Amino acid sequence: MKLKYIISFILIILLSDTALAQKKQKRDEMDPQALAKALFKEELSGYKKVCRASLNPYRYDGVKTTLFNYKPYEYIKEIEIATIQNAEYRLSYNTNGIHHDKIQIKIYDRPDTDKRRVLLYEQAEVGGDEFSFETTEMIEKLKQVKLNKGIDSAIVDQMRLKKIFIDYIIPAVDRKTEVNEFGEDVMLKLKGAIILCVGYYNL
Amino acid sequence: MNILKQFTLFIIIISSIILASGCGEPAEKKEVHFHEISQDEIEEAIYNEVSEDYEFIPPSALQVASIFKKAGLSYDLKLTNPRNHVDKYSTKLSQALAFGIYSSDLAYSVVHEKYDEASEFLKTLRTLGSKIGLESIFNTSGLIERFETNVAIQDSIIDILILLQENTDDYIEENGKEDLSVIYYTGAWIEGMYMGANTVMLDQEKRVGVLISEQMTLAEILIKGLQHIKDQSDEIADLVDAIQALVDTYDNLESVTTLGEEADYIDIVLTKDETTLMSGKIVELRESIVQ
Repeated sequence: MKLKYIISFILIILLSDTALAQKKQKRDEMDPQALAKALFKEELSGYKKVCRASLNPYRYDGVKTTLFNYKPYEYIKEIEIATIQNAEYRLSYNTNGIHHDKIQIKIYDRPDTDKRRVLLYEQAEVGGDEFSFETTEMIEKLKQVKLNKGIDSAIVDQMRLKKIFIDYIIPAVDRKTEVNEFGEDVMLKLKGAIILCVGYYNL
Repeated sequence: MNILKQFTLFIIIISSIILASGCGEPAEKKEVHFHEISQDEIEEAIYNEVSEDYEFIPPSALQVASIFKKAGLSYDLKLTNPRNHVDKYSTKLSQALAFGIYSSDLAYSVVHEKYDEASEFLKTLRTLGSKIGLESIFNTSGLIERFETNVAIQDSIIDILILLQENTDDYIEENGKEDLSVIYYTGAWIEGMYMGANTVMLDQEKRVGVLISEQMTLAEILIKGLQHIKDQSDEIADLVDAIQALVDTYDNLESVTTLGEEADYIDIVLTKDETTLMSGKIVELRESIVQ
């Protein structure tokens, strides 16, 4: 009789253990987040190649892929770019990694924390697209603003942009949840990516 | 016996719960609208918040080297960091800094068409790359082999250097190694400045002096980048302090203070004394890094 109980006990333990192992394996195999992440990474890698090609005839200087999550409030992601000499720069964008609400781009001469900053470029409704532009017009705009402020034209003539601050304004979205295969309520993260390639005119 | 029965029953119940929890419902999506966020809450705390991540794009070592060359910087192998020093760097920080320093030496050699030296620097970079987890950037596209095949063809070598940079940038982004990149950019920046400073000290070359002043803009970016590194250490704090001291010295130069806030937009020609002061401090900083 005792033996019967001992065997039952061992069997139950083994069954429980197997069930747990199966559950873990299922999670590992079907982790949709990991799969989605890998696919997204591959997708961005392709966009990056296209983005770099758009720099032609400018020489490649750097790339920045900015990943972001949509939140229930608007927020800014800022990138700082150092521009040296009087070189003309091309900013080439690939925004095909933005699958949800479109974002805004604003470029300034100073960071978000500085109230003196001058808006040099802006573009609304950014997403699902490719485009590029150069820094020349931004310098002209900066000079015009400085002249309007009464700064000596001899000083303004010598001015150039040493840094630019690119603000990505991510719009607010409603939060969403989903029920996963384990019956758990999980927050659905809406994400996006914007690729910026920078090139300079070499001649 | 009764206790044994009760224990078995307990085990059965627990096991059933565990087994049942393994069988989930199929995935389904539902949209849930959370409570409205009040205007006050938005304005007070989160509206238009700026993400705390710090992202930047510094100029490439190749661009910096090209500009220094155009400004009259000549080639002197003695200015580069000796390749046999590569084994001296034992910490991850010193290795990452050295990776930047040798990247700059490679670009410096290429723009001056010193291909044998460049080839050696490329191999040194591969050695260091394997120590800091960047070995794969040299393995893809057969970079070293292509470099050796195309030696003496300036355009091809430049293309290979750009490819190396693209590989590095991609690897950094795809593997979340942004902190490492900040350190090696710092190394590359220090080496570029060191080359310029040495030239200035020898020749008082005016145009290179302007470039040194220009490069101080990058110092501010690198300080912010270093301060955003997740795993802070005393070594990083010391590096930040050293660069900050350099920036403070520059900001207090008369040629800079005279221009006020417009100095942010102008390439400032420093006086001879100011150039000598800055150059001395740059050389000091670089020597402290490579030792």
